[in-house]
Amino acid sequence: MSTRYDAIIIGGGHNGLVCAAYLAKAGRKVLVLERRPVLGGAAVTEELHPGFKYTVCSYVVSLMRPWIVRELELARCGLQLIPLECSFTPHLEGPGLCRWPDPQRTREEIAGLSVADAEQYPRFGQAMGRLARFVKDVIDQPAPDPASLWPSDLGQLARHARAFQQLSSADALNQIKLATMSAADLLDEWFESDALKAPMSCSGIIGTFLGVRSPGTAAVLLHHYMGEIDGASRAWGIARGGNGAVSEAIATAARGFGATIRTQAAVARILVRGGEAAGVVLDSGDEIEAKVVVSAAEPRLTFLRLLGREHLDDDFVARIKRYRCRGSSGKVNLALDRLPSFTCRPGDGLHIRGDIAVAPSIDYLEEAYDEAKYGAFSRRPYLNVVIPSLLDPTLAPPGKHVMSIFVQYAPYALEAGPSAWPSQREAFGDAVVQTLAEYCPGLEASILHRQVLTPWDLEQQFGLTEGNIFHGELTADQLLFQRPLAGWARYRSPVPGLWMCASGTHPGGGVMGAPGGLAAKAILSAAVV
Amino acid sequence: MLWKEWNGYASVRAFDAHSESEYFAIRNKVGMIDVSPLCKHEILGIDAGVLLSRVFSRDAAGLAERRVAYGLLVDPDGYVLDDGTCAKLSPEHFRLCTSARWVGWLRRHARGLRVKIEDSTDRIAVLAVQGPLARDLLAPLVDFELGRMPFFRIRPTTLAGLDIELSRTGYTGDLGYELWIDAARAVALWDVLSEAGAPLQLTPFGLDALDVARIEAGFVLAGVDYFGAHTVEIAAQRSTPHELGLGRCVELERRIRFIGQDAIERELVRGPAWALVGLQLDGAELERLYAEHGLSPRFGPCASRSAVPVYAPDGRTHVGQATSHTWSPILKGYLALASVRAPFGQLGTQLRIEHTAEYERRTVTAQVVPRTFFDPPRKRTTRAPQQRAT
Amino acid sequence: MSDTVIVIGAGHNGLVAAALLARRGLRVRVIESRAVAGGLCAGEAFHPGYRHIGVHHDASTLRPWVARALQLSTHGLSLRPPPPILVAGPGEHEGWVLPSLRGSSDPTEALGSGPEPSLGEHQAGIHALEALLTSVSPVLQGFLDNPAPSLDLSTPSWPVIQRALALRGLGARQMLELMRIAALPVDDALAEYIPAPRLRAALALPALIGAYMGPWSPHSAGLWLLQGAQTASDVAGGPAELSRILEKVATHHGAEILFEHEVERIRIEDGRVEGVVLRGGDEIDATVVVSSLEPRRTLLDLISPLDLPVQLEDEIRCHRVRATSAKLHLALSGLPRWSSAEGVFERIRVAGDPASLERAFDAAKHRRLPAAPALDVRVPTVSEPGLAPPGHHVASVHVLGVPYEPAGGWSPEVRRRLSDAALDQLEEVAPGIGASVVGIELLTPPDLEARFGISGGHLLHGEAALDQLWSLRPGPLLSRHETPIEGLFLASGGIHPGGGPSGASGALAARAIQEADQRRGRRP
Repeated sequence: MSTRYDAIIIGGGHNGLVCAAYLAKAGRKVLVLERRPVLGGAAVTEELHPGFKYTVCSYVVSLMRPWIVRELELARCGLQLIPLECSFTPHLEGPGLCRWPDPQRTREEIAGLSVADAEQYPRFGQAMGRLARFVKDVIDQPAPDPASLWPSDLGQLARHARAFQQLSSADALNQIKLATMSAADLLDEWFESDALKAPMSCSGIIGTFLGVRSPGTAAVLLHHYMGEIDGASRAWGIARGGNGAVSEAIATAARGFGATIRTQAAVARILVRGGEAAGVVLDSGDEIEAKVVVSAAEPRLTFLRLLGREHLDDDFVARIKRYRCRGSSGKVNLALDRLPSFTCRPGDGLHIRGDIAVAPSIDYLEEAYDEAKYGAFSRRPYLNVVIPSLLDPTLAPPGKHVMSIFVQYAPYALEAGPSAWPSQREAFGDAVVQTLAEYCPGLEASILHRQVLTPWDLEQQFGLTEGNIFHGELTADQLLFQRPLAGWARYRSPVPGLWMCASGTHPGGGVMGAPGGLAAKAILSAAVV
Repeated sequence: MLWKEWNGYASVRAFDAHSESEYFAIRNKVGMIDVSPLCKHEILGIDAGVLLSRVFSRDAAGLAERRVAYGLLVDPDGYVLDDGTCAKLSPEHFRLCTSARWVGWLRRHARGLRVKIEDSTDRIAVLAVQGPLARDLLAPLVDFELGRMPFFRIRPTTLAGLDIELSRTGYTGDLGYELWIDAARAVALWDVLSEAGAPLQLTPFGLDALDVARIEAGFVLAGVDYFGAHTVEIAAQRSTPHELGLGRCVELERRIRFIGQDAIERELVRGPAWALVGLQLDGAELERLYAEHGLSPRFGPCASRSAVPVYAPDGRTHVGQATSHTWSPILKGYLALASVRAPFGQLGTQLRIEHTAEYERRTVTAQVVPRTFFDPPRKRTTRAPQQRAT
Repeated sequence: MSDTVIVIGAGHNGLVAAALLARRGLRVRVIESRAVAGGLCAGEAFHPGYRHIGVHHDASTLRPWVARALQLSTHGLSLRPPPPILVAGPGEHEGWVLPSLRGSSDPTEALGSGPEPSLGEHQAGIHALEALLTSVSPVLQGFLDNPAPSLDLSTPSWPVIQRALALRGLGARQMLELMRIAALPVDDALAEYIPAPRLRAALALPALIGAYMGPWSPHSAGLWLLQGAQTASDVAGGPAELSRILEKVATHHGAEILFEHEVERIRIEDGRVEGVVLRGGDEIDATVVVSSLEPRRTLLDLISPLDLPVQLEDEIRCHRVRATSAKLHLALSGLPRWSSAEGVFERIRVAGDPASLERAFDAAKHRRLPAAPALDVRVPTVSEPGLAPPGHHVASVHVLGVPYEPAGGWSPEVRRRLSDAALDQLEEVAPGIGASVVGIELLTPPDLEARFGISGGHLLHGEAALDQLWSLRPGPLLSRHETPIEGLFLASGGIHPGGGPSGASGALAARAIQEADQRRGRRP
């Protein structure tokens, strides 16, 4: 190929596609290269069993940024989000707990556990909402840089400082606590019922290799409330057609602006000429030139495999090698020939049209984490289950269903090494199904097909280094101005012409699109294309 | 019949498509409304009065037996959480009645006190009987001399064989009583009253009619005229008691200081920043406004909770908002309850309020007047019942 | 208006405050419920003929500025370099000897002697860690040695700006490195310098005592840096000697210590302190009361609920005091022989590897006994033979991985199982030690709670954690030593800058009292 593009995007995951769409919209000649036969990266829908569409990896749309939905006109391109009806925590004894959008119904449910907690619950939500508003500004802009003395950076810091100053003293204190505490300890300050605190604490550990008692997990709790404050565009829901439909909508938008997208086009390495990125070389040997190369792959993979350390200084190599991607989760996708019935709330109902969490107590969650620390998957894991076919019937034949189960913990680094995963895959899948079946007996008999994805599979099939779903852990030392590394947190890389645009950059993982969009804007304002 | 959700219950907004007749029953005859969704808390024990004094802006510990006091729950920074009544049923039994549930709050402040706290919201039903003929209706049914019952008192009694507590309280600004009864017997009470009230044309009424009446009476409504400090999204949405014009509900001379007292005392030094006032819109101007379009003003039987901006006399400087407003059938004027910046809250000030007529947004003069627009003497006087009260 | 200042508790912070206040001419009466001064720093006979040097057995966190303020050297305080630390392993395992990684040393400290550090190929890594600590310690000490700023940010706060400038003064790179490392788990941070897991576990161990964390908990590296920054010179005679000297200094300046008197209640009227009521009914009037007791005890036990503003109660109830260690004192008939190194060692760490350290924390978390507890050992008789009969020794051991109460409670059998677990660990690294034990004292967290009046039995009067530091230790209302109750001050390790024998909290409390007096125009 002798065509020269303005920009080549390596990887057709949702962030890469967002980046491509924005660049194309600005009139640039853009090419997206995706290794797999389907687009979407970890936001992908695949029909692995005839008639049953699995949202294979990511399964909810967490925080698709409203400005991206608007500016890329994604609704017109087919993006449709269906809200989850509730959060259900089944128990082995008792009625379980359901938290609804209706505050009164939720109050009654929680009052069954603790009257005081029922009163506190909306207050906690409001307090979190106020803090989420404060934090939201941070995720919709490039990361603030505390070390920079550039006036624009100082100005940005000053704005954040002013916003912090305007918080009431109670809210300011809560903000500091959220930034430093563990999810369990923070919730202990507000609530007394373990059965309530346990499912609430789970939002703090998704995609991390941390437990609910680990400091730093309270901050991730806030993430959950960010969705509440997107106002009318609030998006804690599933995408019609599975998360692959999100990627497809973005791809449609990108193509509409003139971008070219190729699948089954794996990039072997990044071309460097004269110390600058000049294009890519495909597995097939073809060379494609571009003024700018944007990697939507995970940072370590980008720099150490696609680029090569010979193009980087030792200090950067040492630091990027330290970038932590420890995968801690797995996925089990099931095709069911009937709906499961939960012993504590039998039958069909609104309660199973949301997310269903196996999280009976804080100790249970912490034990699940403890097991994984030493290289074994949790025998009694935390599960987050969605039956998307209840909200979107296009995903399964009538009367039948797909079930998406997110599992923690499944450590990439098994005691016998990550390559031992294939031999443990089925045992892992069994542990998941058996655990869930304790709450809905009859599940096993209803399974028509099962797909089990371990961290090893996530790495092998989806390019997620060590199976980490967020392209790098969301811990304080790898966030904001340190994502992926301090000094390289504004989408640039040490190699001129090579940029980064996916979850390994600010503001991080989740189906947000923000890294892709902010990277595109940075590239455009750098006027290198 | 129109319904509305209130604290998890389905509550009647109006029994008929138009609530006007219900309103007129309150003002001219006698009406009855089920206000059971109000949140109630029983506080029992030796230190019950101490606990309430700690959390209530009135000095509950100093309350005489069988007295009821209207006051506020306040947060430590001096901002209002809720308003409601505190009734001393006996030295070791108080009842706190508010718009939201406060069991957790009460428990938190009960450390070291010998009290038991119960959320009795669902256990106790409350029927309000309000209007000039309310006494005439109830006097023959109760077992004591109702005519001598003073304003804001409560006492146990038997009504047609049913054990109830009867308080001379209400939310309509008129002569009225509230009947507190075990929820299981509430329907029986309703039936008894319906039958006994037929000759007096006792009319069940809903929340729409109540809203008009309470605005006329100058009563604030949580979530409309102010927001509990625990519910707000931004700090500016909070209100102190004095900003709500409820300074009379704050008793500072007392043995046990209440939460928020320090902050309120500090506020008194510098003066509240806001004032919650009554506004009377200029009727003539209103008519002219509509006349420009060839219309006459036609105001529905419902009060409005859509807040509208209030401006300084210059008509441009935004100084506050009218949070509840209504046409008052009995006063034949358009009234509003408004929060305005304190300097503009002096009685007699002529502010401008936004009013939309035929899709056009304009302003109308609104004079600051005493908030209690409607305050008939019969609301608080005692006398023997007469054939037809005025 | 009485001129008396009451200090509740003659622990080291109480004594520091008492000495500073008495020196200003105030009439200071210290009320101590036990028969001896020193609290957790008091040396006591735990077995006939054998004395330990305190429940805290390391006084190298004594802040030099506190020692100078009280001129402790003229009262007999003698400093020396902290003895090196043996990283003990089983069998003929390679025994590393660590230097004490610390942020500063006092120029008056005596020259050292004793075993040389021996680090093999990890020499460079340890030196790099030392360099890191040295470079960031001044900034960290700035946080610890000054009062915590108010969190009221409505007006610019000069102390906050000062700290921010000091941080920035490290240079962009170093500042970002500090921020990065502080958030890491201590094992991950150390792994950037030290590839050997067992050496890392030994390095990490002391930072975990008093924290509700394991080596894989985020933020534990920040705590490690803070502890290193606070570590200075060792006090000859340890915390016991420090207590003795502080008691001497306090009484020298005129403070009166009432032993075996217990404060039952602090009298408060109209939001002002009026004095204390002692058990037995006696009352002492005072308009200033400084409590060096652990703050939950002060506020929740000594103050009537009606006198305690709810915000204070809320704040102190959030102060976490979950202990994860017990204390073990051993009377030994001979010096332990460590299999991993020849020589006489005063400080020894038995930490296993990071996974076993983490498992110990798991045990505490889940209210189980640790199978392999980690041990921080001091043999004070090495430098002070007089603590035991001739040729005999004392071992003072922090046993890490112990819940406040295991599920099922502390029966005698469970207590013995814990002691045995610790002794088994010791036997593995010092064969024969078990046979040399002639006396044992085990202090579980409830024992410590009962004996020293510390909630949860927490040695630092509250967990070390990033959200229980500085202005958040214990919270905005209480971290500046002066409380919203007029005349009531707090001087415990549960208040900024934290626990352990540093003396800083007592000194900052005394300063807060002085400033309060100046504000009110009383006394210079």
